[in-house]
Amino acid sequence: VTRRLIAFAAVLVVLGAIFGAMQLAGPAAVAPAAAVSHPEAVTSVTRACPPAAPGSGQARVAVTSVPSQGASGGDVTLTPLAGGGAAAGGKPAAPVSVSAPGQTSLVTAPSSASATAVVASGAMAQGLAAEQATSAGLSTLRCADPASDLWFAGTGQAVGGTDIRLYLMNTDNLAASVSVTIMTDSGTVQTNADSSITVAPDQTVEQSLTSVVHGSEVIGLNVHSSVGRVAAAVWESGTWLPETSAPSASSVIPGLSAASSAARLFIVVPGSVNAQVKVVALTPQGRFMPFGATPVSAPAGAASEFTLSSLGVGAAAIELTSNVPITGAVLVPGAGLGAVTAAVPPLDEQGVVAGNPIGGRGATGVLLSAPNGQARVSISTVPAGTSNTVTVPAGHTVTAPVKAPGGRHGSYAIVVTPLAGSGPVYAARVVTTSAGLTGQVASILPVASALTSIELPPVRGSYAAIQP
Amino acid sequence: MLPGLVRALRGQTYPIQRAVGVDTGSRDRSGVALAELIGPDCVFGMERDASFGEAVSAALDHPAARTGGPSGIEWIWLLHDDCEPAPDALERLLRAASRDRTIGVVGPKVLDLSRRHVLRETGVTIDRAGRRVTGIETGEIDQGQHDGNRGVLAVGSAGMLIRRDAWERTGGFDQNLTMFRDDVDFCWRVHAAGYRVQVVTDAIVYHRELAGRYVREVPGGQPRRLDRRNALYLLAVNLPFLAALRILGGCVAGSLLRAGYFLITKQTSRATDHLAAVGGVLGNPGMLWRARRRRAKRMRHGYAAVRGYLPRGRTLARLAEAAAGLITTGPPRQAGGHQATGEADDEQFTDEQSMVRRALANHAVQLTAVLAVVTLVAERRLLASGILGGGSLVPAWSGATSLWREYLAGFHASGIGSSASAPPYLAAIALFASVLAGKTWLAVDVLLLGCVPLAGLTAYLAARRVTASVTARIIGAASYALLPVATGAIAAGRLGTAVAFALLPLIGLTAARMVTAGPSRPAVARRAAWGTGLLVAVGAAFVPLLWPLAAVMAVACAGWSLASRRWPAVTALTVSPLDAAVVAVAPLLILMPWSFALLRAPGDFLQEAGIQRTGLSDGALPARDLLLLSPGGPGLPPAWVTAGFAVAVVALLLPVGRRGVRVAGWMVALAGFAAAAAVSRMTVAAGGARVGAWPGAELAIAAAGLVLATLPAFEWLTALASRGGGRRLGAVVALGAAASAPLLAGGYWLARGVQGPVQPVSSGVLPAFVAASSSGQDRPRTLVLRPSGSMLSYSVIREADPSLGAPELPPPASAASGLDRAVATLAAANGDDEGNPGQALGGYGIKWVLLPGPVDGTLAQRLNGTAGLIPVSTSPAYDLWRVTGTVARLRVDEPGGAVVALPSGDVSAGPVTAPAAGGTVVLAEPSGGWTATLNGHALTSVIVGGWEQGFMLPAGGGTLVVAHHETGRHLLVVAELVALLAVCVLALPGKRPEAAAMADTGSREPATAVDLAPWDPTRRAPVPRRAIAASGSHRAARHGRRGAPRRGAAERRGNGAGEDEL
Repeated sequence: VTRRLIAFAAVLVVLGAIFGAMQLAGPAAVAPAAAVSHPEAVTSVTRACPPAAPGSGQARVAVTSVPSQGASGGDVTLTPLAGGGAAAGGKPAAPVSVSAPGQTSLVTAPSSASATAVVASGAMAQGLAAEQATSAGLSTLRCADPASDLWFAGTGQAVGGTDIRLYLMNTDNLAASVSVTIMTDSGTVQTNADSSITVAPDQTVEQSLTSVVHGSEVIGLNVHSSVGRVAAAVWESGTWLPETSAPSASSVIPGLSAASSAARLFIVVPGSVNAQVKVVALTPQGRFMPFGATPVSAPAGAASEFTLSSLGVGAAAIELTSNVPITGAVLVPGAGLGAVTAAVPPLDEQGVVAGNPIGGRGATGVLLSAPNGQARVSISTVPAGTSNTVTVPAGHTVTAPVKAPGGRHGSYAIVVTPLAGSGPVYAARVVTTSAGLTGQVASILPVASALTSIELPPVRGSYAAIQP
Repeated sequence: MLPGLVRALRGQTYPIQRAVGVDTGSRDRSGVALAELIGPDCVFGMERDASFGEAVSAALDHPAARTGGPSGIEWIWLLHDDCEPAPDALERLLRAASRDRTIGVVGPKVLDLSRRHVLRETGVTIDRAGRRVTGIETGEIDQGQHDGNRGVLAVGSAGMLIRRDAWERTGGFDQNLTMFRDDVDFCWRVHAAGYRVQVVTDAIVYHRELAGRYVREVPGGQPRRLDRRNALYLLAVNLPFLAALRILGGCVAGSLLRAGYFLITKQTSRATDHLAAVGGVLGNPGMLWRARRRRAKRMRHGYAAVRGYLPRGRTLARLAEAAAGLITTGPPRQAGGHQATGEADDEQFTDEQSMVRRALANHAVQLTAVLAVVTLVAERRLLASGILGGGSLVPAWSGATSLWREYLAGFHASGIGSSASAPPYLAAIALFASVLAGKTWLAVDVLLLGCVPLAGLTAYLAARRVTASVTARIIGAASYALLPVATGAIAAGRLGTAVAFALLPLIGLTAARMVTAGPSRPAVARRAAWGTGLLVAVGAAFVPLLWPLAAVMAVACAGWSLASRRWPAVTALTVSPLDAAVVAVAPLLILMPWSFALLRAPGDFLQEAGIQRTGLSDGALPARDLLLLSPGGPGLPPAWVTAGFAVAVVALLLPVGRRGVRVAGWMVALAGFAAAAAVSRMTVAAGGARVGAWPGAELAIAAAGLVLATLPAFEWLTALASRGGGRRLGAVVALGAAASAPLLAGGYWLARGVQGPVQPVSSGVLPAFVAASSSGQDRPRTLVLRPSGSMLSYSVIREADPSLGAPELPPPASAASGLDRAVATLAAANGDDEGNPGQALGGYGIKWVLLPGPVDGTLAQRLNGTAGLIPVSTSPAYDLWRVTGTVARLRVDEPGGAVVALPSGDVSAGPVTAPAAGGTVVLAEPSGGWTATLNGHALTSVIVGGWEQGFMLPAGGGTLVVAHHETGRHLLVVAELVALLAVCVLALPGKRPEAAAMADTGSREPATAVDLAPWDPTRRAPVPRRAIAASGSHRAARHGRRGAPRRGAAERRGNGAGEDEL
């Protein structure tokens, strides 16, 4: 019996020891797959600049690259995208190459009649900004990213847009098949049954939309390629329309300069559900609702127009929040038709505007808006001049004048860098024709990010792709 | 014997004119007796090694045979000393013979001399392997069923009546055949000479056939060899040349096969006999040639006269019979071996129970059947059409052949490509699938879904060795089979654990044999050690951790054994260190080269067959659950259902006895618990994540130990319960508590069904037209993307969805990291800024990008805008893109920048015509192990893009061949096979000497039950053992009848013609 009791006790002790050891050890160090993205230096960037605007003579491209520390080498090559019917007779224009990281170049496009592909590699691809510019070096349009889904919004044929042209550019070596959906204030324009446009590799297609949108007060364009990628630009009676971001439930249109009391807001609502849009202006005084607290209604499948007269005179940005994905743009009256600014994504890493003329009577500045949380940005120039740090309180818009470096003629680039810990910030470069940033607008350019590196999302080779 | 013969001769109703006796050197008084009986003039002596044929020739030359008689047809009647013709035999033979002038030979119906109702032969023939075929079953009673005079190929020489001119024309018996087949050969030649051979079934000769049963000595002393040699000789000299070559070729191959089999089963003398017989015939072509010449001279009728008598397909029929014999465990039926009619006095009574009824009466079968029904009902969800997949299990799309190829290949054409050594469990599955007509999915279904009944069966067999109480065995086996480990393994698709789970009781069985063999039977222990090592290796192929656990336990046993020799207080145990080392090392040998890879990466010991995933295990498994045998993860019953196992602890307090068994059980159980506790606190890599290791197999070990420790208590309680009285109630309650574990677990399982990720998968992810394109000559691949949370999972598919085993083969790190980057660029917001992602994919031979449904809109949008990708199809099931440009597995990058696609196979490529411009041949496979030749000249190997295999291609073109080195892998596989065979041979029981086999007439089962006794030499517990013997006694009686003839048959198989049965 003693022996049995000893065995019994021994077993209990060992089992207890195992129990205790497990309790002490705690749970196993289980860890999910590391879902961290990691940065990867940009190595190759392609942009497409449209031909010279009708009646503006020679096409120029302002190019700069602001690479990360230590990067060197590489170049930017400008190649004509022969086409548009202008290639007849003339020999193909030779490509132009630039290799000057950290400098700003104003390059004459190899062919004014055709669009230009800007292909950057190596360090020149990092932080690249390429813009269509005037002979003075003032940029009027950011050269487009080839993509498959592009959006534009602008004024209609009846309200100033007497000549509307669409340029479709293909920088790839694969023919793109493109369809264009046009929305006006009277709904989606029904075009021919087969509205597909084929853009051959390295070619440009120019289409006049004037007759299609005849009588419209506002237009919205969606350029969609079902095969291949395409870059697009829209010209309206002397003004280039900036590309607006793809429809989403919330977007921000920065860059309403001081003279914005007569600004017109265009809202494009794709799909079949009417949008209830909450419009909030981010002003230097804080948030302001130009249409009151109730959302404005925008019809589905159409582009609508709202006048921002209640905004008064002052810098602002417009924040749109909607129940369905929408996109939008704002026309700020100015020289000629005025300048158009559009919804853009917030600045990531840095924003670069390459084409800013040195000298001249006008003033140059940057409008910074921070819809959520306070933002802190550093504004500098290339070549290096003064650099200052601007703090934008949450829900505010701040106007930051930029002082041109040196006194020489030519152009310089503005670099807007959100500082660490900053909230999302939206920026637009504003150039006026008269002294002071409250004067008549010569150009508004929403600032786009010029990345030196991109974030690669976490991926893993796993059987889970086949069987979740 | 002789007097009987002579009396019979004298009593013949037809008078015999002359009789001549030949005494071939008898040692007893036979010669003298013969002389006394038929007259000294007619008897003469010959040398002892004289053959029957020589003796007959000499006798016919004897003066007594030559002295004249009445002219006309003369007949010769041959008799053996061990036969006894019926009184009217000669008369009836002669009457039949004289009816037809073409008859050259007639023979009687032969009955057994001692049991005169038993039929021996009515004419004989041979099959195409040279075996004698009589068409009569062993011990068949003569009821006239084979009666009727008819032409036959041959008749036996006992009682053979020969026309004298036929004898003289054929030249008598062949002197090369001293015994066996001499009669067949003679009759064959009689046929060839234009006569006919008939059996006359109303003439009866009783024959003892002493030589056939090896009671009589055979010249040369090796009857089996002689028998086989003569069979081959007979075919070699009598068949037409081409037929002889064909049939003899088959016979030689068969003999070699059998020799191999006998070598494996350690019956070397029989293997030697087979080899020597082949050598004896083929090694003497001169003899064959002369014999053929002699026959050719006398031949009048060709092969056609004989062909009709040779039965076809006998070999297959015999194989089938042997297989049936193995399955039924009854006496093997032996149709037609006349030498095989040994003892078996009561064989006609053995079939009183049909095979099916016997099987159904078996408790193991009953338990398995009940568990199978429970399993099928519980798994109702999984029985839909489709191949099982999900959880850890990869659907087994491919058949056994491709699984074999996958295992044997040095390079695996799956995913990006891998040259890792395939896990050996693939070979085990492939082997099993080959048995199941190549259906791998069926093999997986049987092993995974059937693991509960299989484990019940093996656990019952193991319990049979420990206890004679059926109740105890059933409770123990059912408790084990219905463990949460089993239901959890099924629910999570853990094929590895399922197999290991069913295998564990068998490992325990062999280990117990090793441990209990004791010092007196070291050979038994050694064999059991090899057997344990072999089974552990099979288990470790599925659950690698079994190997170190077994090694540790074996070493612990050896240590215990040393300690018990030193200190008498320690419970005695005898395990030689060498045996322990065998258990530890055998898996290393059998599983190489995979085992070496395991040793290099010890973390992989925690993996198991199948893929590791999140959600299949519980990293924070509570200690209480673990001690209640619940391993965590999907598909488990509540932990309390196994509370019945607590009886094991309580049973420690009962005065049960069998201390050795209980100590062993508890040692195993505690070791299992400790291992399970440790494993449950470790993690394994699962596609970038670390998930908790699953302590399933370890808990199964613990449970097996608990069952082993409790079996004696079950037995004791059963005995108590049957005795009556006040203690009866307590015993019944305790047994009921113990039985609650399997009942609750089974009930819960039945009610809930299988709850887990495993499910039937009806089709693969690859659309049919993409799969068709992927097996084209460019061998394009498909990239499958599936976002899950912030993580994007991807997989590269070649011709079809990856099948069992393929996802476990890791690609080289360089190739994988490159593809990681390419895929990340594809999915990145500004991925185009990294260059052309489509082009990067093309470098990997990827032509298609597939986003299975439900399609993620953002990602689809992004892919639409990616350079180098063209949308092909959008559907609810999937979105598909095509990579632009030239995409091929084998391509040439020409100096001018042009890319030329070349056709290739799934592994090697060519011969193809290389472009004349030269450049770089790029094979979209990880570099290393590849060779390329252009017009037979080797090309210089380069690495392209940091991972791809490239070759410098000189300008001028030519014939290009690209191949992978397989020699290294093949050598390793051969080494593995040799190791496996060697271990098998060492583990198999050797053939016992025949004398020992004959002496052992007792029942086998109680004997094995008693075998456990040496386990605990200090306390032998005689009472239970006697009880076992008594309880098994009625069974023993039945077994005795059934077993003895079987043993006899096994022995007979060694003799004469019967041996050809495999």
